[in-house]
Amino acid sequence: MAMMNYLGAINLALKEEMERDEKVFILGEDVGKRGGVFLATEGLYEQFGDRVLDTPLSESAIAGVGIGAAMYGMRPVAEMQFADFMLPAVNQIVSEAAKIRYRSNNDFHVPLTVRAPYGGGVHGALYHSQSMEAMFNSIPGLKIVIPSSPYDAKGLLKAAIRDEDPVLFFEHKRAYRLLKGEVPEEDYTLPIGKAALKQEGEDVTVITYGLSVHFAEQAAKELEETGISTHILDLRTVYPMDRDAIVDAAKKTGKVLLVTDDNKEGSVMSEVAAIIAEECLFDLDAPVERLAAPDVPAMPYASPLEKQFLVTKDKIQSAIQELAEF
Amino acid sequence: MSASKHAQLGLSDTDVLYMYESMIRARKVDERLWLLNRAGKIPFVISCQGHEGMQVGAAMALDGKKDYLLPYYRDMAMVMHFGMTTENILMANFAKAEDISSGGRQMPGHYGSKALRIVTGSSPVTTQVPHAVGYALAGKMEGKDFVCLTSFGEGSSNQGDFHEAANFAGVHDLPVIFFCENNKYAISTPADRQLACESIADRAAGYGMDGVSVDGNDPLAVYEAVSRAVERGRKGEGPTLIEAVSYRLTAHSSDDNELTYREAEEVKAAKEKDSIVTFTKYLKDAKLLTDEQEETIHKQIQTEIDEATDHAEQAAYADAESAMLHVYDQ
Amino acid sequence: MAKEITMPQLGESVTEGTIDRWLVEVGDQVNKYDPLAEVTTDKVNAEVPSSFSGTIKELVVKEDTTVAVGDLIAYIETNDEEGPEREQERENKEPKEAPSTKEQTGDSSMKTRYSPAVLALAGEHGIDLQQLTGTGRGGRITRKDVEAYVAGSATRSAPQKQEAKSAPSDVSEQRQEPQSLRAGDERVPVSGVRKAIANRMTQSVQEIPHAWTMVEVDVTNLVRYRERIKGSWKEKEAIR
Repeated sequence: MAMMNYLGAINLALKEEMERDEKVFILGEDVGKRGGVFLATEGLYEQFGDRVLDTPLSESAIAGVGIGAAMYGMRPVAEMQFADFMLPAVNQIVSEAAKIRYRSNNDFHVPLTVRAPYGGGVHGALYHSQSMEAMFNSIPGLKIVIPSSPYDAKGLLKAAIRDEDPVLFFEHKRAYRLLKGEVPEEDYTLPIGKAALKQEGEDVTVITYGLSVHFAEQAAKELEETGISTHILDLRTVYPMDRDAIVDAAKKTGKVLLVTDDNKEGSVMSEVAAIIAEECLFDLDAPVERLAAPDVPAMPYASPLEKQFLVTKDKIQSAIQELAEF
Repeated sequence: MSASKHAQLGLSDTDVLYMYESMIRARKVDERLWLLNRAGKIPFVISCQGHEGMQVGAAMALDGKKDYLLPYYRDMAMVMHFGMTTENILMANFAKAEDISSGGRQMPGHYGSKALRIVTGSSPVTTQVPHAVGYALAGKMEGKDFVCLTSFGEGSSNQGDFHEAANFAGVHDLPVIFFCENNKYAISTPADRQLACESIADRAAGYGMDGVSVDGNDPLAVYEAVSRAVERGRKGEGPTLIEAVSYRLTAHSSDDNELTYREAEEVKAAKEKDSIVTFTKYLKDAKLLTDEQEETIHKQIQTEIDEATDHAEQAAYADAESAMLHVYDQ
Repeated sequence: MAKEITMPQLGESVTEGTIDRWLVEVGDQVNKYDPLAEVTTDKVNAEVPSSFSGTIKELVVKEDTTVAVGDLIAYIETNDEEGPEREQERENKEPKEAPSTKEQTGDSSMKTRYSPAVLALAGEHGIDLQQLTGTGRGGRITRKDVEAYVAGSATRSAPQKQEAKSAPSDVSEQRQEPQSLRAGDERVPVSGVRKAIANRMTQSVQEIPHAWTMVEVDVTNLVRYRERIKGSWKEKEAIR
């Protein structure tokens, strides 16, 4: 075990997978000598040379070339410098990567991983802060993984690289250096498509993913002193969702708070709410609540405006308390 | 076409007759598809008529054992010369389970077969072009000497994916042949409303690659240009952009009425330059094809098409429940 | 007045920085934007400029020390009359959304509004909800209220239906989650030399091959022999 941050865990996962399988390679903007703008690929160019490929500044080609190489039989890991910049690649991801297995009747498939830093709270403003998962979370054929800790980041990224289907791997950029934890040095993977129960509780269920898991845990810890016990489920994979885990968690307390740092409307949590509405009516003791960013286009730059947009520990804490008292 | 041109290019008499048969087969299958559509038996046709010469010429220059093809929807003659059979095409048009491209899931014209190294394609145009670059990149990383030919229309050459992929291939010296089939119309919009440059080949310079424009009605000229590009690619000299200029002899698809945007006279004039007409004349002038042989070939192919049509019409659809399969692995 | 200089955020996602070298000493006069220290982060190396003109009063953080973004690193004495204040603090001064602690002041507006869970439980156990006192907002009877009521009557009558416990969904993982802190535990950050020692120790464990061997020997006879000659040896040598 070693203590490392979320970013270090991602770097380690990439290094280990490239050592394990020579079909694994990385392509993206500034991933080579620079090691990525967040340094997620630091040291890999020195170790693996041209298997860490600096591409021209063109996201659709990064995705499209990755898809081609994956169909050929490689295991590309494409990096989108910021999730906000993925939009030019949406046609490749949605029309191609997601549909190739289906449209070819299982003849071709795309074992591609697309990594992208998302989320805000780092003064990234509108175009370096967005959560993009909702845009992809109704696209069968894709898998969307969002780790909430260094331990999860390593295990899930390794699983994503080994997966036979395209995986979008969103990394919260504020988590990169904020979250630290024990990460085993040896090889392990975590199952894609399975949620993780972070803690058992009796009063309110929080279902969330990504960095919000960390804030939910902090909020729950403080509330514990006031006698409120929180049940926390980390989705880990936001598409396709772990329906059983969601239903179990919602039934546990009957009071459900859904937290995402994405805009509220049509978010991942809207789907979770729908699942709970379909499956848990007779176990519900309060309206299902969503705590999310407001429905404005994206996060503003100035600190007070940014904070207004952000889902914080305090906001989660008061939402849990409100539900507990309902 | 001088009578000995194919010999100069290293093609035997058998080779050019084989090319001729492929062109005739594609034309006749295409004509059958229109009949089936107008008879209400198949929902949709997208035609290769007018493109047969360039498609067969290009496919002839590739190595069918190792090179990859990433075609677009109009490439029936190309994929057939590269390995798809008449029956494969009919099965796809009837959307039957035996359609090797998709098992009846995709519209006709969306070719793909891993075994034939024809890479699956979709309907948003030009998305296959970066895939070709990905295959080429993988080949380079693995030390292979195959090339990837990807084709697209002149309209598609305006898409970002074309430019992003061409630049990527140029920067990394990848063995990709960008094969643009300029048939002068993107559905209804003529080339002069699509392109601000004289020739698609002019765009090559911006991506640091060779660009050539050839007569798409001359299968031997196309064969020559693609052969050179293949040679360059195999030697690690990077990509090539080839524009083959021809004419779309039918409407865009079975759902289009071309006479709303172009003159019948224009189509009539183009038909005189049709590669089927000119290549037949070349072979006859070279004394490689007699009227008798021509008739025999036509008859054989017609029989083959009749049989394939019957098989495909009688073949089973995939089970309805199979629509739920193959979203993910297992 | 003494002003506080804090560790700036040098780059998106950066949460801490290391003071490599102070470029000023206590007593130095500095102008606004004069460099104060060289700082290294994961992403950049930079000189941190002063936010004020004045005299260096104290360097709070030693060289080669890593501190979190926003932490105090130095004091500067200025002629300004304003009290000590950090840039960061202004932001933090915004009123915190106080968690609501509304008292239930005899409001019973929600007493007869039953949730699906409450109705389902009441039906299942044949409970007259009028008999219950609600602890929820507005006197609402909560699912927990009914469950508690059921549990209470269960001790007197038939055993109640046990709610199926949801299994943790982690079972398929190959590894356990790292152990979390327990109550009373405190996490103390390591810094400087300690950090280097820890890193080297970890490195040595990882890089130096470790080997051991074990041989099992039956020494029963040896012990017996020792017991047998112990007395005579002691006598002979006169030492114990």
